[in-house]
Amino acid sequence: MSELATTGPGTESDPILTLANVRQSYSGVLALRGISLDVAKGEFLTLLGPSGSGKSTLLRVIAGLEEPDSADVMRLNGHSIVGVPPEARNVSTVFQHYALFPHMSVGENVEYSLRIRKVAPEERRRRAEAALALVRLPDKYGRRIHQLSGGERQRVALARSLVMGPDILLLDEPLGALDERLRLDMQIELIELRRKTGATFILVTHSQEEAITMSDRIVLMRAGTIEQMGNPRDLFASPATEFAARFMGFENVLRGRILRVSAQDAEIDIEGTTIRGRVVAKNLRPGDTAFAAIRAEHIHVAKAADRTNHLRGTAGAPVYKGRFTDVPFRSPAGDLMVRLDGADDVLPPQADLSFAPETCVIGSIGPESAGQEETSSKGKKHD
Amino acid sequence: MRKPNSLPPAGLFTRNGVRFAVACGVFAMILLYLPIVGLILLSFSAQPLTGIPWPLTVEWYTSLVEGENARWLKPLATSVGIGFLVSFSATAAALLIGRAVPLARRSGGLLATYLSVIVMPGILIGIAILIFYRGLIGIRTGFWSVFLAHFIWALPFALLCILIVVVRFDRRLLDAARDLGAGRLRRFLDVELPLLMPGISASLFFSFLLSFNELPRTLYARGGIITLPYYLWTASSSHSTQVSLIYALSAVITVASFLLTLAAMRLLTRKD
Repeated sequence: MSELATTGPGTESDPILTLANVRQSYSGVLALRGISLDVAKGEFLTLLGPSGSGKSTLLRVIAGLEEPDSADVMRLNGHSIVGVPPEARNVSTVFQHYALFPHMSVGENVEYSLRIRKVAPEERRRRAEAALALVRLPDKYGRRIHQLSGGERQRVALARSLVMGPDILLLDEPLGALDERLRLDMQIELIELRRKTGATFILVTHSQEEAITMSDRIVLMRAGTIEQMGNPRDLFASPATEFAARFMGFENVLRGRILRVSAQDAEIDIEGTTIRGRVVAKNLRPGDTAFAAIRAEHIHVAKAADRTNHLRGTAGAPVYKGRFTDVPFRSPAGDLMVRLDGADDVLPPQADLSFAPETCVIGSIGPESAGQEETSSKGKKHD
Repeated sequence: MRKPNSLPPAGLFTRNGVRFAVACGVFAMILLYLPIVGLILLSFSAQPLTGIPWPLTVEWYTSLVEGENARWLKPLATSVGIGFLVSFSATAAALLIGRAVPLARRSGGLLATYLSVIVMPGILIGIAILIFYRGLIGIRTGFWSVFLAHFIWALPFALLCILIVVVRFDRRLLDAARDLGAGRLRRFLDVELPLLMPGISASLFFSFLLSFNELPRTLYARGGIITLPYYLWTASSSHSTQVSLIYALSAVITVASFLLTLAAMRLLTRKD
């Protein structure tokens, strides 16, 4: 399978893709507002964001299917790709809708890029079968596309893109159309595939769970800009903005005013309640408007030993989720969602809630955050 | 194959509704085929002009190809020639236009303009073509003016055939092909053409048939040339010696067209 892997895992100093200040707009609406990004060889990078954040547009710009309005630098494997059409770029896309050619067999689909490159028929066949074996479809070479299930089509699309040995494999929400079970299997399989081929993967998704499971690095996008970039642990534990906190699945995000800041922690006043937490933003000063975010599973009921981050709440209607139960609480600081492991626990109507300061993140609400909510709903062309 | 009455009744198609529909269908079928069958029967009649089929004979068929009687061969060649030319050029033009129409901003009005030629009376179009193209532009009537008239006649139908497949065509497949390295020509040949093929073959087939059977426009545009429909029309409307042969000739053409249509339908509805 060595012919499938043109690129081995490389070093950070050797980016396969460099973008600087890439701008793109659709009929006056900015889809990308100056994106700069380096992608290392062999990296599994995920572009994460809601609809209209520009993540799919960025992927299409890398593929060459969109020509950006302007870009200071666009380099792929050492060569500038500004103005280079997609057919001349050695990248390959797995589309959300697969875009398999319905009039060709599985084998013909996989071989298509090799046919274009005038590879001899026997060689083509050998490489196509190797690619199909790689995606665990070894005996489907002669099948028609309409005979395949959704998951199988997905694999054929992967094989078709991998067979040409692309510098970068671009995946545009490839798991979106699959059912839950299959999606989880495919996540593992994509990780395996990346390991086996050593290729560079760029994945677009709106699912933070998918991004965390698969990526080496996550680029969180919002309204055409990069909101936060980092490894999955960073983003999961330390979202730097209110938007990032919400998007990374923090159930409880509250706003307040900073009382005290030190190098590690800060205290914030929320509706008269003082909350202590970890600082995730620079330049935070007392008096600033800020947010505090805490995950539902980190809030505990009736552990009042420590008096920090202690609230008294009134329980609302619990939502049974199988492995746990989510219970909304009314507290002086605002509504809090609390996750209880014991699904059948009987709750008193009033309860003491507390959480450890290290599980609570405190960051600033920048001036730019306020006005961007509307723009994120525009420019949905490719999401 | 499933029997039609095994479907549960739905909407207008109650049990009696289905019976009525079947009756209508049978009636239409009789209406369509009775005269044709009658004509074929008469072509075997010794005295076709009496309208009585018997006594039966194959005399007319054998004399169709003999000497003076074989005059229909040249009109046939002319009609087939024009038919093929019209078929290919109308389909090529329809393909060019049809691919662009869905991308145009106001495709509705554009489409209506192209297709409304269908509803104009053929005779008027014939006269208009004669006056305009000959009188004003100076095109001489003959083979090419007939071709032009037929082309104008066939184009809207060809366009309809192409549009049906073009609007269903998934343009994202072109992105995929492009992404895999296919240039403009390869994208067209490898992806677009094969997927539009059902519409293209339908267009080729119907354009040919429209041209092959066309009479009213041909009447004015033909100049000196004789097409097969024109030949059949003149021969059957004048009481010439040819008239008995026309039944036989019509029967031959009918059967040939029928077989051709059957083959074309096979080709069009073929499953991959």
